[in-house]
Amino acid sequence: MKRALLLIVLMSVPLLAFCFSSSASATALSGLSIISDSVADYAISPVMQVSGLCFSYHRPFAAAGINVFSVHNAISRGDLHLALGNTYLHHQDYASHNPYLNLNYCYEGLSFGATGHLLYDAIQDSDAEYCFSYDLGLRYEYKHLAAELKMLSIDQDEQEGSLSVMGFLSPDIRAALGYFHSMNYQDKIRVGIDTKLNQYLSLYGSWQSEDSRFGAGFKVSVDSWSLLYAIRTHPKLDASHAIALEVFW
Amino acid sequence: MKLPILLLLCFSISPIYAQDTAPDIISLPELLYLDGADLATEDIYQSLLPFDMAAKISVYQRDDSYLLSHLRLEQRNIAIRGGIKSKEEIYGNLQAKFYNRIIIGNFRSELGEGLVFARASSAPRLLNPPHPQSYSPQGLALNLTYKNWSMLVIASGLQRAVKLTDGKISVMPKSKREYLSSSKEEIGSVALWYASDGYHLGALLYQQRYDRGFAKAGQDSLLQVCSFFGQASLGEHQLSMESALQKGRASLKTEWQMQSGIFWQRWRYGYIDKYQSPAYAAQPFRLSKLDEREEISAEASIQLFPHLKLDAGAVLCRRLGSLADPDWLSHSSIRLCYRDRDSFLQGSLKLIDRQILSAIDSSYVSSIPLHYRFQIGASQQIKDAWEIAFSARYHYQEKKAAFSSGSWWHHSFGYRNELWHLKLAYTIWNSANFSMIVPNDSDMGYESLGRNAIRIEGKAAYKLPFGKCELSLRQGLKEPYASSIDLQLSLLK
Repeated sequence: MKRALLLIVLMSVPLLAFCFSSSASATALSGLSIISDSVADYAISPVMQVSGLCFSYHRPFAAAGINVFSVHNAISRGDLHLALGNTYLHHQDYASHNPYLNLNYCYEGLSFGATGHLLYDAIQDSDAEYCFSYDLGLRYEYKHLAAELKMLSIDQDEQEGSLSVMGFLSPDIRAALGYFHSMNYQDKIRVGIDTKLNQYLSLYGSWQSEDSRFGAGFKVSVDSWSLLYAIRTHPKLDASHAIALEVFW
Repeated sequence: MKLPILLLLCFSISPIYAQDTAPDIISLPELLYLDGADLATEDIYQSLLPFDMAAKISVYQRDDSYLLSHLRLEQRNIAIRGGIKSKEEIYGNLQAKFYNRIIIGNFRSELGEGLVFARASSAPRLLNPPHPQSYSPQGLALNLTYKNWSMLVIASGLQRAVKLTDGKISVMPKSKREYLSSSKEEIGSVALWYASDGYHLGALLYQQRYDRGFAKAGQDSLLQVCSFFGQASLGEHQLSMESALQKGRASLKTEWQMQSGIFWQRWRYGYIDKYQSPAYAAQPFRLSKLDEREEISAEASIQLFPHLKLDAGAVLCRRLGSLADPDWLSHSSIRLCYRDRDSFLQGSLKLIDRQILSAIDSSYVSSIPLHYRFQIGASQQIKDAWEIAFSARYHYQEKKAAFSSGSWWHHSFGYRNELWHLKLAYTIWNSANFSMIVPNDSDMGYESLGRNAIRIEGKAAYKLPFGKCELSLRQGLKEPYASSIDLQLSLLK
């Protein structure tokens, strides 16, 4: 019975969205990648501009038996960024992989990029399916302001378009507001904030409308290494937890 | 002088890159994987070549564990090379070479375009023993030269495991294994050729005999072949050919290769009539292991920019004298490669007529014709000692449901300094309905991957004063949680 419930939970969440929002940063910031510095968020934004390596673990809805592992990696050559990663969702009766490849280019504050995803899911190894999806993104930064336009999972049921803006409330506090439109799901507004307490510790907070969900997290940074823990609530299910270890170069 | 060579060997480029940069862009692993073990073994012997005394001992700990050892000793004009594989049974191939002319033991040979022995890129020659579990000629081989004339004499006799049907040979595997029956194989061959500046021309007489007949029609226990071969280098052009006569029927393979500045091209044509392939001949065609076919292939490569290279190729193969089969089966490929001091990026696309694969894997159904393969590989040096690399492939077969599609993804992070090379990687593959043949760095040269699985891998190599020690670990993260440990020790002096 418990296994059946877990499967229903898995199937009730849009699969691509499920994989996309699995990083610790996306959990803490409700997917507002415009204020994210995490390599893991190349999975949800084609116009990230960080280089590094990230290992992430996500426990969705604190459900036992469902584990999401991911590895993300990004390098840059001048203004060109190349990122790749893989998210692996494992359950005894169900598994999915979401490898992706991103290329983006930044020219004087204007960035544009594309990401290709190859999603594979299988039920008990017997019934398997592939699906391709593509993301496109555009981002513009001017002094301390930025705007980001994204189209995720183009041509899929989970297709989502979003427009986000970001600004600094103070030198150490960034805030972002985003409007997310889905073809087959309710539109959402998301608000997020990133506060740098000192050189070692940062705090994150976010909120999403429809369904109303809160996200929060903290990051401990030492030199080029950082450890991020995040939690995100759900109105009906238990909270999701995520943790990520990152190194930047 | 030996130290730089040793360093080069110790920290050679990952096999992933080797696989991606193979000059032959229109080969299919499904048709060539049986040669993978011998090629991997030749790589081992090449790595031992600069040393007078060298050995490599490998322990492969897994469900089906085994030990593999290779040895090379050279003293004055005597060289001993050999390998042993110890499993439930012990398999081995060993040769002693005297004055670089005489071989006693197991050997391989190259000659012409591969109609009788392996395909040669230059004049005929004798090679190192193959993988310990592979069959090879066993006996005496002489390679003699007098002025411009050379002669290659081979006398071989060995007992091969075979499967019998009604007392006749129905299966004769290339590798040694335990069958209830065996057959004695005897081979005698003499090749004579004249070589001068830039060309050689010669002829071969070959006889092969088994003490049992073959179940398959057209296969005889006594086989005699007469072959003519030649090669000429004419400036930018290189021409080579071999024609073999068997039971009054002629078969032909030719090649034209040209290199001019930034442009390279190679054309091959093969016509093989009813032809019983000799025991150690090369595969007759790139797209088929059968006779009564003709095949034409073209490959070209151009250096577009200093760091950017474009390769493309196509091969067409058709059966002779059959109205029912499609006229031509084709496989074509295109590859773009960028490489500089720190970075490597490569993408390729292959289009394959599915009937080519269905001859190998019966799980392919023959409703819709095309099979696509996308491959991408990249690596980047990060800072001084760190590197990342990834390689991925996606196989797509035209069907309404993509159940016969498959994907493979490998991502690694490496650290290296003068003594250490450490690598951490993970590999994911999904291939529900067929096995993907993926080249790797095992002694077999490939692995066959099916279902869907995820595996983490770790590798450590340490340079010793007298060689190198390598440890590789692989752990599957899904049932049946397969694990393997490879320990390799190279002793070099």
